[in-house]
Formats: sequence, structure tokens, C-alpha cells
Amino acid sequence: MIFRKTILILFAAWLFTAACDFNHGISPLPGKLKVRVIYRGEAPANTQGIYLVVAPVFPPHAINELYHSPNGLPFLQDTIFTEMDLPYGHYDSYALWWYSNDTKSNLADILAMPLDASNSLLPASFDVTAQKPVVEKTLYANLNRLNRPSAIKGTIYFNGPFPPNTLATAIAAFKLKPEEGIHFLLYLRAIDFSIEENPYHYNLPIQAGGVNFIAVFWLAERAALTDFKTVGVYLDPTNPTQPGRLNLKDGETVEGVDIYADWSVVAGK
Amino acid sequence: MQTVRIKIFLAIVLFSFLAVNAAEFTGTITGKVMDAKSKEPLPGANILLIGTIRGTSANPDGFFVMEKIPPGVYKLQISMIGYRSLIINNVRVLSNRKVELNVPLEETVIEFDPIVVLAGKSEQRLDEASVSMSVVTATEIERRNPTDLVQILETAPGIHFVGNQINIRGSSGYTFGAGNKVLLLLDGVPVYAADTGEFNWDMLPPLDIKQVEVLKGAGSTLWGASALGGVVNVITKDPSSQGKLAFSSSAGGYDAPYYSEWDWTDPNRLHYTRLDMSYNRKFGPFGMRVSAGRYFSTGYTELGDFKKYNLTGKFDYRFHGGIKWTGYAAYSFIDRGFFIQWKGQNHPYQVDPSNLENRAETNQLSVYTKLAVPFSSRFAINLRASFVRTLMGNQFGAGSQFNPAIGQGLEAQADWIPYPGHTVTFGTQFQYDAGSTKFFGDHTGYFIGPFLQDEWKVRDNVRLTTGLRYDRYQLIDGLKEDLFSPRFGLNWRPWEGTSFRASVGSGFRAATIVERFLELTILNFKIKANPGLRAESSWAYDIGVRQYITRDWNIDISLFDNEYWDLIEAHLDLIRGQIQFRNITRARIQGIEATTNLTFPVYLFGLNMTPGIQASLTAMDHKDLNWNEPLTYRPKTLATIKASLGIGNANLQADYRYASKIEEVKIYPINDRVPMKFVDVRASYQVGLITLQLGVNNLFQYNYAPMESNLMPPRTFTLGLKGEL
Repeated sequence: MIFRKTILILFAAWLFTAACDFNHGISPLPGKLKVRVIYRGEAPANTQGIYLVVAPVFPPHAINELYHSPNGLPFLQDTIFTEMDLPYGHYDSYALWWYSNDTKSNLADILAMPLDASNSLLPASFDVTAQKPVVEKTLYANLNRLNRPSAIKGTIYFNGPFPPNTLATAIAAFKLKPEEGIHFLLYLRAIDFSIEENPYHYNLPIQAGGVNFIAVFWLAERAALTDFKTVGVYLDPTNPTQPGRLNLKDGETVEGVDIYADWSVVAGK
Repeated sequence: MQTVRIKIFLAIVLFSFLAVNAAEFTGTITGKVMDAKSKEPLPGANILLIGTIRGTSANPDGFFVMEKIPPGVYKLQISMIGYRSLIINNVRVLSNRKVELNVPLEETVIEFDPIVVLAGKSEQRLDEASVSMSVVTATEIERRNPTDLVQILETAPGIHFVGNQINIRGSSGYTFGAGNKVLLLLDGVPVYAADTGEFNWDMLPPLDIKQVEVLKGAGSTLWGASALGGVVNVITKDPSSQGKLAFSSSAGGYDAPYYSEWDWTDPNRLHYTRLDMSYNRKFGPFGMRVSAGRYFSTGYTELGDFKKYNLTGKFDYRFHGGIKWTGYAAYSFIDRGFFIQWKGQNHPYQVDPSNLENRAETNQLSVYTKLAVPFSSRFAINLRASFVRTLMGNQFGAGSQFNPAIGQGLEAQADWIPYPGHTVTFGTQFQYDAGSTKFFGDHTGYFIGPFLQDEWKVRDNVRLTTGLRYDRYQLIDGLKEDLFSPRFGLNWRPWEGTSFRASVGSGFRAATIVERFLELTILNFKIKANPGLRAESSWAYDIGVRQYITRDWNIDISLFDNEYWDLIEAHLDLIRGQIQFRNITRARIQGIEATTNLTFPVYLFGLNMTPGIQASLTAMDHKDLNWNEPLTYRPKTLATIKASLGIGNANLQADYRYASKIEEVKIYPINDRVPMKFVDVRASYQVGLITLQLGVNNLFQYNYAPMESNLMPPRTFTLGLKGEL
């Protein structure tokens, strides 16, 4: 009988202890990023929304590693104010991201990502702390860069099947040749991630202006968003040792920009 | 060729003739089952002749009769909800003689070794099974007064829900509403939606449920497709001899959020009500049980509201010679808001205003019919046909065009004892699934799967099970797959109170129509079809021991290793905003599960009390072997403690559920994740046939989101009233 009573009393004691030592699980986020957004130009007609995104770590491996405003920001005014709840911590970067109605939003649709004033190879970071739970920032968004009336067309020829660990293969046009990770975002003019067949005929909408580097990029499963591997480059037809360059006029379509991609560059990666 | 067919036909006729005629040299067992203390008869008590395929139940006066028993010495097992089951050894049956028995059963708050059918497709005691199982008995269901099947299952050992997705020892993770790695059976009949493979946990009211059995690990040898990570069998109540009108009603209110920042509405308006009525009666050989129910809730979130209706009917007819026909139909209609994700962690009970029009409707009809034909005490045939029509419609702001998915099944099963010690179960199952919508077109597929199992009673205390199943899956105008599912099992009871078990089983699940063909754009994501998806498969290894420390205290420990190949998972391409179901994972889930059940009468504070404690701990290591990291949406530790204290007609209960923090998720890995810690308490008081129950679920206002951006209910106050007239 003593044994039975002991079990009963021990159980009641445990229940009481558990009750006293109880936290309440998920709690509200204590910090806040307040952003003033100043727009320039007009958003394209196929705009689904413009979102505020914050990256705890840059570069992120995927867009779901970003804090994302739950709903789109207004974009019909010149200036708007928005805010995002955040946990305390360090944040490597913040930006705006444009989404189109046809779900093809991609890295070229990052509208505004300020850089660190002391190191232009790094995005501007900020901290949310108990001492400073509210951080205020301003973002300048040029909506004109989303209008892409010109186009580059061509065919990509691969020298074999796509590697099994392929996350995405893309054709991208850059203002300048990217050398560092962040250049892939800063110099990017247009990108198309829909390459899934060999050969692939592409049509890359782009804004008028100079394009000094066009290449085919490959991204492995779980690689960081800026960890592109170049598998083929558009070469100058008159000097095949150099990247080809284009200068597109407004509304112009340049055809025949063919690229030969070589998988041996990424073998085993 | 013609000669061969004639020979086969004659052999079948001769075999049937011999089987039927063998019944002429037989004896009879009769008896009365009663409460050991009050001597009141126990109508509905189950009587099982161990080692045969014969069983019956007691009539309104507690009497039972089992006729045409071949002469021999038998073991008789008598069981009843709320009573400790009893085995009577050495029941000697002589030709043309009658054996009369008086069977007193002792009341218990915990049913230690109930009768199960899931382990071997025929009735057996839980401690004689060679596989690991959990059983939620009618006593537990009544005690918990659940509002749906999820509440019945969520405290069972090794079970964890992520959204509406059941995980048995981490089997499923979360599959985004398409495909289920666990098979759900209603009285042994598959009831998944033919297009999505999902379950409708509201398909029948808790009032209709007699027992829920959970098989842990692969079980395709006997149960076929989808039994990849486990099987759940919901057993409904049979019509009883007495005309009974039963009712169960409950109402509850959701408390205000723990954090005032989360307040979003007047909490006094958030409530639910559930009412179920059931009438059952027997008219001679015909029995019927009809139930109707409604379950309304405002929900505890925006878009959390729903209206659910149930209508069920179970009918049986007992022909001469023990032939029994059963027909069952369950219809449910659900209209609900469709909460996909919260607006933000500081507004967890609200959705983005652009999603406020999202609603979903589910309309399901499940029908089955069964015919059990016992040719003799050594040979019986069971035939069944089933039909499941599911119409699901999700409405994302605008109307959608869904067509009903139709699943049709046929099964013929024979149980044969060719000679003493061997029980052979064999048969063939056919399943035809069809689904069509504008989002994936018209698609149909079928399975045909012959199966064979032999349970060999090597000695009185050793049982060896071997089984094999072959399935051909054919997608019309598409791929076809051939799948083999072997199984081995051993149960050894070296001495009284101890049983060891070991099993190796395999399972498979073919991709559903939705996983293969769905093309849809939702919330900036495009779901892409993948018609070439292969079936996922698994092997489950399990060893366990069940030890009775005393008559009222047992401990069960099992070690398990579940190996998965070609696991189908949603692959999120976050670069292009695409989701596609792919065979991406070679996975392993290993672990240990320990459960204990303890009950003892105690005299304390001048009162006679009957405490009962049921505790379980499941510790798992799960791994995606391709990436050497934990599988998504699966905790590594699960624990439950269920305590009850009976004091006269009053009963106090407390349940504690724990799940460790989920380490890997797919959609929002940066969201806060916490372990699950829920405490529910209840008090009930019985007056005659009426029971009043008061309860508080999530007593300590714990905020838990097993699936990102979806918070579980806050503290909920419940009031229940149930009884029989």
C-alpha cells in the first residue's frame, strides 16, 4: 500500500512541478524593422506585389530563409511606410522583392538592396536588440528596371545530360562580368531559370542598355543563391576568346545569341 | 485445358462438401458472461475460440452459444469493453455434447490486452501479435470524450499529428495534403480519398467508434498499398441486442490568447458545439445502428470556422449456419474556412486579408458490404466490396471545379486451418481509383494483389508468421509497377506474463493521382506534375517484449528500424517558385518505444480510489540518408502520460503530451519552433446512464505550431453530456 501511495504522490508532485515550470511556447516577436520606401517610376501591369524581405544570413540558400512581409506593399504612391516584426538578432541584408502575376519572379526582381557604406561587396546589415528593438531604414526602389521591352534570343547547347543534383540552370545577362558573390545580384540585368531541356531555345526580356556578359549558370541542390557555376558563356563571334557584348535599344530583339555549355566544369560539384 | 478446369471445379466442390459435412460430428459451447461483482449479465461480450476462426457475442441476458465445434480441447477468450479479458483453458468439447460455462469478468480502468484484428487479419490477443501495436479502447475513447478521430489518436504512444497528417513513429512528416504514408481502414476497409490519398478524420462520429488499432511499421503484406509506415484501423460498434438510443453532446469555448498582443476578436464568441445521436437495435437476425451528428465551430482563428455533418448506418443480418452479412455507409459533409498560414507571428490567429475568401468543402460517402461465410470451424470465406466517393473543393477566392474521386474495392479472403497449429489466410484484393479535375485531368489506376499468410503455432507458446503479397499497380495509359511485400513474425511467450515478439515486414505506397498529375498555381507557387513517380517502399524491423510486473502493471519495450526507399516528398524549388513531388529520399528511422500501463486500487484520505497511469516514450533518430540530416516535420522524442483516478462514480483525468522540437521544416525554416507540451484535464461524474464531463484542454495555454504558421488551439473549456436511454 505504501508503494502505491508513493507512486500516486510522486505523480501528483510531478504534475505540480511541471505546471509551475511551464513556459508558453511560441511568443510574439519583440523587434521591429520600420522602412520608408521611396519609389521611382511605375510598376509594370503584371505586378502581383512588392514585398519587404530581410535575410538573417547573406547569401541565403533559398528565399524561404528570408523574413518576408505577409502581404504586398502599396506601390501606387511615391512614398510608403511599412514595418516587419522580427526576433532580436543580426540581419545581413534587407531589400524589396517584386513578384509578377505569372510566377516567374526571380533574382533579377530584387528592387532595392542597400550596400554597406564601408564595404561595397557586402550588403548593409542591421541589428535588432533589446536595447534598440525598433530599427528604421529607407529603401529606394526603381520600378523602371522591371520594364523589359527588349529581348535577347538564342539557343543553348549542352554537351550532355543535366547533373542529377541540379537545382536550377539559368541564362543570365549582366551589366558587367560578375567576379564576387554579390556581383551576381548587383550586376544582374535579366535571368531565366526555366532551362530544363537540351538544346534550349531562350527568350530573355531585358531593359535597353549595355550587356557585357551573358552566360549559362548552374546551381547545385542546396547551394547558396549566389553560388552560381558558369557552364557556358556567350562569346564574341569576331573574337571567340572574349565574352560577347550587346547594346540593346528600347524594344529591340537581338537573335542568334547561342551558347555552348560544358558540364565538365561542374563535374563532381 | 477444359479437363484441368473441370478438375479444379470438382476439387473446390469436394473440398466445400467435406468442410460442411465435417460439421455434423460436433459439440456446442454455451455460457453466461456476467460482472464478477454485481453478477449482472454483460450483453455484447466477445467470445473467441482461440486457435479457430470462430467467435460470437453474448445476447442481452449475457448468454452465448457456439455450435458445430469439432471435438477437442480448446481455449476460450472472453472480452468486454471496460473489463479485463479472461482466458479459459482446457474447454473439452465432445461430439453431440454441450459444454456450459459461467464467465465472471472483472471491471478494470485499463484494458491490458484487448482483442485486435490488425496484426493478422483475424482476431487475436494483443500480447500474441508479432508486431508492435497500440490500441485505443472504447473505455479510453469514452473517458476522453473526443470531438473527432484526431483527438482519439493523438495521445496514443508513438503518434504525432502535423496538421491533419498522422505520423506513426515519424512515418509521414507532412505531405501538403497529397499522399499519406499511413493506411486508414474503416472496419478493415481502406477509406482514403482516391485522388489525394488523404483521410477525412471527420468521416464518422466518435460515438460510433468501438476501438482504434494502430499497427506500427510497414503492413502491406496483409493490407496492401499505402501501408508504408503503419496502419490505423477504426472499428465501429456493432448493433446490440437491446434497443438503445445513445447521445453525446459537447460544447466548448476557446480562451483568449495568452499574449494580449494576439487578441484579434472578442474571445467570448469563439466556441464549438457537437451533438451526436445513435440508435441501435436487433430485430431477430437483423441488426441496425444509425447515427447522425453535427459539429459546428467558430474556430479559434480567422477562417477557422466549420460546419460538419455526419450520417452513418451499420446493418447486419445473421443467416443460418453462422453466415453474416454486414453493410455500412458513412456520409459526411464539411464546409469550412481554409486557414493556410498566419498573417505573421504577431498576428497568429489572423490571415492576410487577401485570403479571407478561402473556403473548402468536403463531401464524402464511404460504403462497404461484407459477407462472412464459415464453412466449418476450420474454413471460412470473407468477401467485401467497398466504395468511397470524395468530393473536395478548395475555393481560393473564386469557384473551383472539382469532380468526385471514386475508389472502389473488392476483396476475397479465406481463413483456413489445414491442420492443427496452422492458420492460413489467403485472398486477393482489387482496388480501382479514379480522380478528375481541371487541375490534373482524368486519371484512373488499379491494384490487384493476391496475398498469403501462414501463422504456425509451433508450440503452445510460440507462433511463427510468414506472409507474401504481390501487387500489380497499373495506371491506365501510364506506368505499371510490380511490388512484392513479404513478412515474417515471431511471438514467443516463454512463461506466464512475458511475451517476446519480432517481425520484419515490408510496405509500399504508389503515388497518388494528385502527386503525379496536379498542375496548379497557388500563393506564388506553381505545383508541377511528375507522371513518372515511382512507388515508395519500406522495410520495418521490430523486436519487442511485453512484461507483466504484476497482474495490474505491464511494461512494453520495442526497438524498431524502418528503412525507406524512394520516399516521395514535396520538392520545393524556391528559385522558380515550384513544388513537385519527387522520389528524393532514402531514409531511416530507428528508435525505441516504451509504454507502461498501471492500475491499482488504493485507500487514501478515507476513500477507495482506482488510479490508472498509462505512460509512453518514443525516442527516434530519423535521417535523410542522402543529405545526412533529420527528416522534415518529425520530432525525435514523443511522450505521453495519461493519469486517471476513479472515486466512486467520479473520475478525474490528466493527460500530458510532449513532442520535441521539429528540427527540419520545408516552408519557413526561420520561423520559431518549440517543443509540444500540452496538458489536458477532465472530471466526469456518472449518474445512472448519464455522464457529465468538464474539461480543460491545453490547460497551461501552450502555443505550439507543428506546421509552420499554424498555431494549435489555445486553452479550451469543454462541457460534455452523454448517455444512453
